[in-house]
Formats: sequence, structure tokens, C-alpha cells
Amino acid sequence: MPLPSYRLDPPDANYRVSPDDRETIRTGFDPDALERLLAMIVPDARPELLRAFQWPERGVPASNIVKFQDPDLQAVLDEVWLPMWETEIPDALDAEKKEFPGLALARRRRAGG
Amino acid sequence: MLTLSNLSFFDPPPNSSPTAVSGMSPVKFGSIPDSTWVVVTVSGDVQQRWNSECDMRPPYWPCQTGSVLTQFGSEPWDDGAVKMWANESGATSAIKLRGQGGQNATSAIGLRFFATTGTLQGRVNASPKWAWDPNFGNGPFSYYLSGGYQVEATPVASPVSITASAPLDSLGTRQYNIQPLYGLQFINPLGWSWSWPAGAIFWYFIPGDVGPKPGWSQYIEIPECQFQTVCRYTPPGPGRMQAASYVETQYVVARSENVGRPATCPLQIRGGLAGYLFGYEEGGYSWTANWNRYRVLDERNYDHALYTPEKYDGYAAGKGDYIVSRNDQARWYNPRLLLWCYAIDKVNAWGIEYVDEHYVVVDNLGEIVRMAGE
Repeated sequence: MPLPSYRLDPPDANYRVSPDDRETIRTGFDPDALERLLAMIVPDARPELLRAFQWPERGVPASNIVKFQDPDLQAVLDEVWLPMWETEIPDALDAEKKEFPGLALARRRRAGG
Repeated sequence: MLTLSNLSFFDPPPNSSPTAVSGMSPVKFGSIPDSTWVVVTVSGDVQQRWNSECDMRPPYWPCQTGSVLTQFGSEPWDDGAVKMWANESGATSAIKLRGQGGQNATSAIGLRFFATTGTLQGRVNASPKWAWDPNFGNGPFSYYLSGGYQVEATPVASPVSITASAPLDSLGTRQYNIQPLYGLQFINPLGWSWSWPAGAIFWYFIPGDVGPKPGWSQYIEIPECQFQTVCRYTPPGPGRMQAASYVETQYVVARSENVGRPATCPLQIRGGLAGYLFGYEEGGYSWTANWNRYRVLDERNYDHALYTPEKYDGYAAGKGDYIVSRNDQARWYNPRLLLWCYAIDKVNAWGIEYVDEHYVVVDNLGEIVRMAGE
């Protein structure tokens, strides 16, 4: 199967989230994993997805990307969300019923998997 | 998603003789898929250099002078400096181009919808300029021609965008905006006998889990928004706003993103997960960002739920549990957040499909009291 046109193969090894943008990434998301995620897609598509992980303007509901249809992007999205469950909301590892990204990965890691 | 552009260069004829002008071959573009909007942009110029042979013409039979090109107009028309045609289902029709910034011969834009697979072609629209006399027939041409036009035909998903704001109130009222893209403009068909405002925009809400492709199977007309580019509307539930308008005289129907399907509210909310919204600013004070789901109000969708703080800072007899504001100046007794949780299925301009969830505070319950002595 050819990669969809928005995907880069190989990912852009030179892409970095700028220090200023890193400062604005919301707590609970892994900036390094987010950088890997954005490096997998064409440059023009990056700002929209990056914004979804940054603090929104006051009064604007935050965007929460919870699923990519592209399985490769979804796998990295799980890593982006991992700190949310391992450090920000550790109770959710047991309690949360909703299938958030990264939750299953966090549970596997806790179980030593 | 179609993002590939067709880029071509249109050369003028080498000179303004009738033979050179009539001998110009059209430049053909690649195939355009069905159900596709194409934006045509033209930029360039043609320079005319006087043919010195004309200086020897007898005064009664001179070389014709003037521009070999007609300018693009301030309204779309099909006889400007460049002519474009669409070929679709065996029929050929002209594409109207409008001078960008008004009447000119250097820059134009046009729009065309291909209902079926088709092709595009075009050429510089030059008129012959030469000398003629009754004794000898055609004499020398008036001008040498150079330069040309760069012509780009770009398939686009829609010539307009309809954006939806975040909910503006507890009812979920939103503000929808429609605007033409790519430098296009709202322009009604020319020659209408009635005077509707530019775009003649009509608004409709399409309820349900409907896709982005416009259609008319089920809709709610919103007459109060008619002819406006901004529409405030309270959707009765998930669905998309649809607007019909005229862009560059073409009838365009487009839809907004879906305003949301119900999403299960999470068991716990943190600042990072929810952004700034979660009770931070209620009553003019900033509060804790950590809340637990206390009660689901919609047992069918789980998309409306009450939240209580993860922990209380104290209890006051007769007043109940409370939390203290971050600046220690106020107490919020019996704090509750009512959240509306919804998901939007997005396909962005690059074709990336993803689910975007939002958790929005639609009400804050309880009592905020400024602490005495502060």
C-alpha cells in the first residue's frame, strides 16, 4: 500500500518543534513524541496538528486529538498521550473506561509489557 | 484530496499578423476528475514592439495601432487577455475570468465546477493588428509580440470555507462564517433582474452524523441568516451547516465541519487535558484544574456530566464543601461543573483523518463568596 500523500517516508529527521512552541505544549503531552509525530507528515500540515496540543486561547475549548485513522500516526499519538496517564492522571490507569490514546500503552508498561 | 496543480505557460503569437494570431494552438491541461472545483489563475503580460516596416506605409493605409489584447474586466467574462475553455461530456464552454484588483491585462482568476471528468485548454486572446490596402492586400504586421501568461488550474475541495466557532453559550449557539477562498469573490450571475446582495447566501442546517459532501436529503432552512456571511445558530444536535452561494457567478454549496457528535465525558479532567476552560475563571477567580466526574446527566450518550473538584479545601457548617481560589481570596461552596463533551470527525486539507474531542463547561454551579477581610 502506498503511503498517503500527507505522510513523509522516511520522516523528516531535521524537523524540530521550536523552543517557543515547546513552551506552549499542554501538560500531559510528550513534546518529543509530538515532534516525532509531526516529522511524519508534510510540513504544511504540521501547524494545525501542533496547535491541537498547545494551550488554547482563553475561553476557547482545548482540542484533544484522540484518534488518527492512520495506524502509524495513531501509534505515535499513543506515545504523545503517555505522560497524561503515567504522571498527570495516574488514577485513570485503573478507573478510566474511555479509550483515550496512550491509556492502553500506559497499562501495558505498568504491567511490565 | 486533490492538491496537484496544473501549471502552463501561454505564449503569445510571435507577431500581430492575422495569420500568426489565427494560427495559435490552444494549450491543453491534464484531465480534471469529476465532482471537482477548479480555480484558474492567470498572471503575466504581453509586450508589443512596433514593426519598423510600418514606418514605410502610405499614410492612407497605415499599420493598425492599439493593444492586441482586451483587458480582463472587473466582473467575470470570457473575452479578456486570456481565453479558457472547459471540455466536459463532449461540450465546450468558456470559463469566465475576472481581473484581480479590477480591470487589467496582467492578473485574473476564474472558477469552474466539473460535474464529470473533463479537460481544460486556453490561449492568449490576441487580436490581429496589421496594415491592409485595397491594391496589395495584407501588408506588414504592426507589432512583434513577446512575454506571455502563466496559467494555473488548481483542483480544490471547495471554493468557500464555512467555519464554526466554539459554543458561545450553554445552549451551544455557534457562529458560522462563510468566505470565498483563493482570492475568489462572492459575485452573483450577471444580468439578474433582481438585486440580491453579493453571494446571495442561503443557510441550512443538516442534522445528524452527516458527511462533508453537500446534499439536500434533509435540512433546516435558517431564514434569519439569509444573505449574511455570518450566521449565529443553535444546532439542535450534531450536524453540519450548509450554505448555498454564488462565487464568481458559479453556484456553490458547501458544508461546515460537523459541530459534533456526542462523546463520552472522561472520568477525570486535568488542565492539560481540557485547556483553560475548567472552572479556572469562574466568578472572577482562578480555581483548581482537577475535577472528577460525579454524575452523568445523559445516560444514553454520556456527553453531559457534572464534575466535582478532585479534593476540597474545607467544609463550612450550613454551607457545605468548598475549594479556595488560587489567590486565597474566595471560596467556592458546593462547586460543580457541567460539561458537554463532543467529538468532531475531521478530514483536514491534507487528507489526515482524525477525531477531535472537546470538553466544554456549559455551566458552573454552587456559590462563590469573597472571603471577609480581603
